[in-house]
Amino acid sequence: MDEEDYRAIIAALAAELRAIGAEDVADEAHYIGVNSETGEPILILPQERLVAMLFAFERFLAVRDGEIGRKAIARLQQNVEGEGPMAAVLVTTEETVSDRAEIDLLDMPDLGQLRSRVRILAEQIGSRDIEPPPFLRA
Amino acid sequence: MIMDKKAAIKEIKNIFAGYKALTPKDSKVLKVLTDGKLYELFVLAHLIESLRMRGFTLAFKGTTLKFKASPGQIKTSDPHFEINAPDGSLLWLFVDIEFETLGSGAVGGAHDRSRRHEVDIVIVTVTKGYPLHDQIALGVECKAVANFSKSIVKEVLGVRRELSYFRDAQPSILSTLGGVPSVSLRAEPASEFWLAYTDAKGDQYSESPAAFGIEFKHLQP
Repeated sequence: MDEEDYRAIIAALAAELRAIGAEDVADEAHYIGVNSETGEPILILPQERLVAMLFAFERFLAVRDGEIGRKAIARLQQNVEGEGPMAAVLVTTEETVSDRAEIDLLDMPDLGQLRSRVRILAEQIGSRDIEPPPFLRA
Repeated sequence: MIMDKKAAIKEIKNIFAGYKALTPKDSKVLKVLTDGKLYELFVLAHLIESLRMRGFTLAFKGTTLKFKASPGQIKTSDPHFEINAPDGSLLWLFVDIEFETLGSGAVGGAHDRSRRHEVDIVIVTVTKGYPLHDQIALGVECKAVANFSKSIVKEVLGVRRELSYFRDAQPSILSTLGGVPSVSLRAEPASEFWLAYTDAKGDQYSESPAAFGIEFKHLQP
């Protein structure tokens, strides 16, 4: 793949990210390096940028992965005297206290497989083709 | 496997289709995911394990851990952790709490919105109301953002300032209660303060805040 290919993939990825409300992951401001010859900030090369964006998306998924909540509860139970918490909820803010709802944090979807696919894709893309020029440091 | 542009775009579209299919449609449930509460739970588990390894004994009071969409004050009726220090002192751990700032105390009680700041996880020496800055033994700020940015550093520096004065190094509150290994901080009161984040880029911002007793923790699920 050449740089134009990587740019096309970045465009497709960024569009999908924005469609799910992950604008921040798509924001190019996070993918800036420095040209050591001029000191100027520049976008990192398309291949690296794509890989960095994919890993950022994996982190986006990680903090939404219900499995981390379920593992955290098990870890809490292992480190306290007695039973420890059996569940975890988010108490919403409403107009009145009686309207408050409790959302079960342990009932969130397991995103492990998707996260794995994103990591594999990032690693495949990152392992191919071009090396960054020596003047560029991320 | 050889990956070309077409295959890469196809895989991206498939991954996002899978995500959309799994993502809850209820906006309140969606808020759980966007608020970073799962990450807060993940960090809490890490902290509890860390405290146990430092010699503290912990017990959970309640059956269900309750995070709040809006932070508030400490109530003993809320589920919380009770912490017995090695020297026998008793402390409490609550989540999503606002504390009365150092600055507010310095001006005799601020009346505007600067009076209190939120901390995601706190260990305190009191069991009701809004804890004062000097009633906090440890605070944790959790940042569940995919990309770490300098604005996070500026934010935690501000919270640190509202917790403690800068002074010569001394053992942290938890260390004086027998926690090992001993942690030394240039802060008065010597509250420990963690910044937990998922993006390893955060590590690149840790050296200067460390002078003020802010411990950067790259905790990636």
